[in-house]
Amino acid sequence: MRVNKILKQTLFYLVVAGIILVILTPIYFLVVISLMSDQEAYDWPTQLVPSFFNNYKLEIVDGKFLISVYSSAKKKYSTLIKTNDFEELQKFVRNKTNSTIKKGIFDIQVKKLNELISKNSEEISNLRNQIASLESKLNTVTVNLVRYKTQLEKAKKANMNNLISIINEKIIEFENEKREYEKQIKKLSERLDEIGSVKFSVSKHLFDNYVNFFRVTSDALPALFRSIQVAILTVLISLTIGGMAGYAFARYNFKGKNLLKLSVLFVRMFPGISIAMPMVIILINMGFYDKPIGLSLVYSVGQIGMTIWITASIFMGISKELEEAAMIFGTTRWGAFFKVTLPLALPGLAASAMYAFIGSWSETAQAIVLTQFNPTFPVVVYQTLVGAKGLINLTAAGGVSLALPAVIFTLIIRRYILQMWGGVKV
Amino acid sequence: MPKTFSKKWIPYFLIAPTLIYYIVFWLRPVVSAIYYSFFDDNNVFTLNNYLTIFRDEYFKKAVINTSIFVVISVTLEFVVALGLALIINKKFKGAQVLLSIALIPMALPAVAVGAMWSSGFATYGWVNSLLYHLGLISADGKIAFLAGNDFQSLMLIILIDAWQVIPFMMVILLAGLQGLSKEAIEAGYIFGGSRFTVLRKITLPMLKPSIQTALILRIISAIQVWLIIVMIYGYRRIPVLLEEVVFYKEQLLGFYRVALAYSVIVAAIVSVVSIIYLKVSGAFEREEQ
Repeated sequence: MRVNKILKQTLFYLVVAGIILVILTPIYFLVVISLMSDQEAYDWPTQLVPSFFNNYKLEIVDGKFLISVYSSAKKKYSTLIKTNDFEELQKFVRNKTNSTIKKGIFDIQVKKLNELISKNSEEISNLRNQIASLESKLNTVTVNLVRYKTQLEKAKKANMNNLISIINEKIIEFENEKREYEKQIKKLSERLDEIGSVKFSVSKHLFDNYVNFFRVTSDALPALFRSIQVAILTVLISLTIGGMAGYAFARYNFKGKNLLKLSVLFVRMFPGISIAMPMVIILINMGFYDKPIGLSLVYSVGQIGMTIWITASIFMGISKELEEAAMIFGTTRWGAFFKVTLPLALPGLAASAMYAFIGSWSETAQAIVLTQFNPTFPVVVYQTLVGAKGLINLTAAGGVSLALPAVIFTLIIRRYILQMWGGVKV
Repeated sequence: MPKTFSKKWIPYFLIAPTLIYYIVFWLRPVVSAIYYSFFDDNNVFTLNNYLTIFRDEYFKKAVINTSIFVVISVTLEFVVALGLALIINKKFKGAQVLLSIALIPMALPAVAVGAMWSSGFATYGWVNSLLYHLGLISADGKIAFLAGNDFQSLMLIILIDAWQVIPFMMVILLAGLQGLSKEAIEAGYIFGGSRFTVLRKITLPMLKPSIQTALILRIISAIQVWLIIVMIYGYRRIPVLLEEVVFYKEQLLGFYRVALAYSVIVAAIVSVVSIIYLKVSGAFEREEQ
């Protein structure tokens, strides 16, 4: 009996852990990618943690500096740039790997390297020649392998069994050859590394993508302020208007109450983006087009209904008797509302305001239609994502910046979210 | 008497701003959208905007894809959300932590979700990397998630969408569960009901209002899915209704009125489905009880 109970509990917690993993894994990766340099973000497999340091290897080849960075995904150094010019090298390394190699450090390393090279110059050039010839052989083998593999596919399709076995033998032969070359190259390279290169590590600017996102995407910072403006305006409009109706819901019975309650649904039935299209003309006539106030007027349509539901639920939770008691003691209806009900409802109303804030902050679809030269923050992130498919780490940084305030706000009002929805009944 | 007269008018005074707002900023654009959809650029009455849509081969695809999406995603999301709500409602150690974590996807802006999954499901993305790190695939065995056939792609979108929407439905259901009377449920157990019977005969019927709220809100928004699809697949790879609206508006020049006509069709579909649902579930009659 007790074993059974323990088993059940364990199973239950395993399910819970599974749920948590499913929710958090993608979020975790988005954050990790946002902290990765271009070099890391394009490596495969994507590492489970971003690196905090970059390990560099410096060589001198044909009288030029050749700098490589260690890739934990490939488990080897990958070449970054070959140049004479330190400034160029520094800039390139910064762009690719988010580390700044300071002039002082670089000079020390170059001095070390020159001492090494002067000791072993002959062996170094020998090794380089050997490696170069091995690499060209390896390339030939690789090309052959690809060719034979496509032939194998064709042969399989045509069911030529005798041919298949011949090709298979060839493939095995080439693969062995390839492995052999790779082994030799690795051995020689290790020796070359030992006698002809210096290695050093530099710390990484972890939040470079965030800085870049706001610097490169020229719109990002003004867009951020615009989004905050729009969200605040939306909160003001929807809380004032929706709050009044919500109070009416909680305290009075009137004709059409049910219809108004369902209005939340009705206004959502016409797609938001379709409302936005004719709204462009209306807003131009009002002089509000492409301005924060124009956006908030459109966003509020969706938010008012929600606010009515939520505030009605909050006011229902505050008993009518309290107001009546205050009125018996001589306050007016207005007074009772402002002195009794409103202070009690304040936390709930603040939560409802945050809810509207999050809704407005995250709104993307309508903003794409409603903005032209003054995009909001989500639109800027959207353009980075859809427009520049390559820069995943930059997009991730934008996405995280966008998501962070919304997540924090949601967690702040966590306690109220359930209460808010508690009174919502269609 | 004047006092009662004024009292009667208070609620109407309170809801007036909302009504005026809806008329100016909702009804007006809706009416003008419907109006423009029936006229061409020279203000001559025409049905061409609608005919363009019905002649478009993508219209049929969009209707089919949207229908599949709504049926599968709403069912899946509801079942999982209900399960989650029942689990969190058990008040075990860490229930509050689980709730906090479950709320995170709900808070994420659509763009962040798009960035997350489009970088994830790319062939060289983090999903394959994770599978590789876990030893489930080899380095050459990368799965081309985004290269599936149409139905598989739609399923992928359903999963991504479910990841974000389930918490939202769960919140509504959990709020309903916490408002239920414990006595009825306990009585069910006392009379020898098994866990499943109590759930089916007592808990779910009592939870009906919350279930309706969750389902109707979800159905309305599921028919209007588009942004996540465009962010992951681009336009016209998996056509759905609203994606076509945006396609006509944003990607083609001079099809503004067709986009409006498309909107009217979508709105009509949403309205019909919602009203049928509300009728069937009896939301209109509740007032009179």
